[in-house]
Amino acid sequence: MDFLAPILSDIQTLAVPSLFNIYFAFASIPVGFLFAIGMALGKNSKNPVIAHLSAGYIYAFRGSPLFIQLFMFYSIMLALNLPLWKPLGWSWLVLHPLFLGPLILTLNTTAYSAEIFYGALQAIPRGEVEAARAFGMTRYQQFRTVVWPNMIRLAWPAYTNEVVFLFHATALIYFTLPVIDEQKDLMNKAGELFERDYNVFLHFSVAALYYLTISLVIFFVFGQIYKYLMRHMDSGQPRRLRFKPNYLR
Amino acid sequence: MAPILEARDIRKSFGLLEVLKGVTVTASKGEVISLIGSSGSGKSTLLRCINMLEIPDSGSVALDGEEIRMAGKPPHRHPADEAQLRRIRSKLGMVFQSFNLWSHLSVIDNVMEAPIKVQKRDPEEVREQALELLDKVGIREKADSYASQLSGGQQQRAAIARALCINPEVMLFDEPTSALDPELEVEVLRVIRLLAEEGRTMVLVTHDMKFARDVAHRTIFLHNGMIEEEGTSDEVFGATRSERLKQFLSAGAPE
Ligand SMILES: Nc1ncnc2c1ncn2[C@@H]1O[C@H](COP(=O)(O)OP(=O)(O)OP(=O)(O)O)[C@@H](O)[C@H]1O
Ligand SMILES: [Mg+2]
Repeated sequence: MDFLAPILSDIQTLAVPSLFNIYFAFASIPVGFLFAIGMALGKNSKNPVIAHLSAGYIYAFRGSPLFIQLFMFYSIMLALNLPLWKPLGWSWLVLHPLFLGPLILTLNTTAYSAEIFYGALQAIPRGEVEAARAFGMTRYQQFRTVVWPNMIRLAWPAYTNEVVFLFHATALIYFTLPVIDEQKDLMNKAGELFERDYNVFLHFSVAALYYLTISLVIFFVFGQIYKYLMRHMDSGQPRRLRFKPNYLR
Repeated sequence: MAPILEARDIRKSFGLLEVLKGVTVTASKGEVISLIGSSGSGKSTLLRCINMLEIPDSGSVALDGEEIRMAGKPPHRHPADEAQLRRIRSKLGMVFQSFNLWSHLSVIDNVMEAPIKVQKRDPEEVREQALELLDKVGIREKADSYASQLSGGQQQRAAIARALCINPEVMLFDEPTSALDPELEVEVLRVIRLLAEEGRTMVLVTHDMKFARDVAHRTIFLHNGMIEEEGTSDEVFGATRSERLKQFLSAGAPE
C-alpha cells in the first residue's frame, strides 16, 4: 500500500484547490446561460441592429482564444486602474481573480452557448410554431409553448459539452491572473507540488483525476436533465449524451 | 343568411409567382366547403390567408362580420391590430396536414393549451371539455401520451380535438389525411364526417373527391390561382361544366 500514500496525500492537498475551479465554473455558468439565451434570441432577431450586434459579439469571443481574452481583459483592467477603479475605490474587487476570472469566463461562455442556442432556434419545428400562431398565441406565449422547450431540448447535448469545457477552461485563470496568498486552483497547486519533487507521474495525474471526477458529475447531472427533456420522445432506446471534445479554444 | 366567413378577392404572390389571383370564399353557418385543385393551385395558401398565416397582398377576411384590419402595402402589408387578429384566430380551428402537435406536451395538454392560455378559460372546465372531445375523436385513453407515441391517425384526431376545444366558429382543414396511410385515413375521415353532420362550419382542402362529394355542401375548384368552378357538390361533381375540372376529375385525384 506504499504507492497509495502519496496519491492519497495529493488528493487531500488538492481538495481545497479544486474548490476554486468549481467556484469559477459555478460563478460563470448560470449567468452565462441566461445571457446566452438573450444573445441567441438577439442574433435571431428581426431587428438588424440587434442581430448584428449579437452576431458580432458571438464572433468576437468564439473567434479568439480564451487564453488571449484572459490576458487582454486583465491588462485592460489593470490599465484602467489608475484613471478609473482607484478613484472609485473598486480596485480590490475588479482586479481580484475571484471576480475577474468568472467575469471573463462568463463573457466567453455566453458567446459559445449563444451560438449553440441559436443553432437550436434554427431547428425548431416550424409547424409547431405555426400551430401556436394559428391558435392566436402572442409572441411570448409562442415562446413559452413551443420555442423554449424545443430550444433547450435541441441544445442540451451541445450545451453539456460547453459546460464541461468551461469547467476545464478554469485551469487557465491562474495562468493569467495573479495568485493571491494561498488562493490556488488545481493547476497551480499541482505545479507547485511538481516543482518540489519533479514527480512527473503523480501530481498532474491526480489533478486530472479531479477534473475527470467533476466532469463525470456534470455529465451525470446533465444526462439526467436530458432524460427529462426527452421524456416525450421516448422511443424505447436509451439516449446518451456524447462527449465531443473540440480540443483547443 | 349573412356568411360567417368571408374571404374576398384574395390575392397573393410569392416573388414573381402569383399564386392567388383574386379568390372569394364565403361560408354560411353550418356550411361545409371543400377546396379542390391540382397540386400547387394555391389551396393551402388560400386557407392560410384566411387566418393570416400568410398575409394576402390584397383582399379582406372577415369572421362573423368583423373584418381583420390591415395596414401597409405589400410586401409590408400586415394586420393593423395584433390583438384583434389573435382574437379572430382563436375562433378559427386549424388542422394541418402534418398535425403539428406540440411535441413536448401530452395530448390532453395540447388540447387544453390554447383555451387556457389564449382564451383564459377556467382550467377545470377546459379539462372536462378536452376529455369529452378526446372521447369523441376516440383517443381518450391516449390523453397522457405524447405525439411521438401515437400513430398518424391518432395524432391527427388529437389535432382535431385541439382545434375543437377552442369552440371555433369555423374549422379549417388542410389535407388532414394526406399524410396518412389509407387504413388510418378512415378513422380521421369518420371524425370529420361526424363534425359535418353536427352542423359545424368547415373549409376543407382535400384530394379525396369522393369524400368531398359526400361531406361538402359546396365545392370550389381552384385552378391557376382562380376559381375555375364552384357550386353545390352535386353540381360540381355530377354536372361538371368546366373542361379543366373534367380533366382533373378523370385523371383521378393526382398527388
Ligand atoms: N412560402 C412560400 N414561398 C414561396 N412559394 C410558396 C410558398 N408557399 C407556397 N408557395 C408556392 O405557391 C404555390 C401554391 O402552393 P400551395 O401550397 O398553396 O398549393 P396547394 O394547392 O396547397 O398544393 P398541394 O396540393 O400540393 O398542397 C406553389 O407553387 C408553391 O410552391
Ligand atoms: Mg397544400
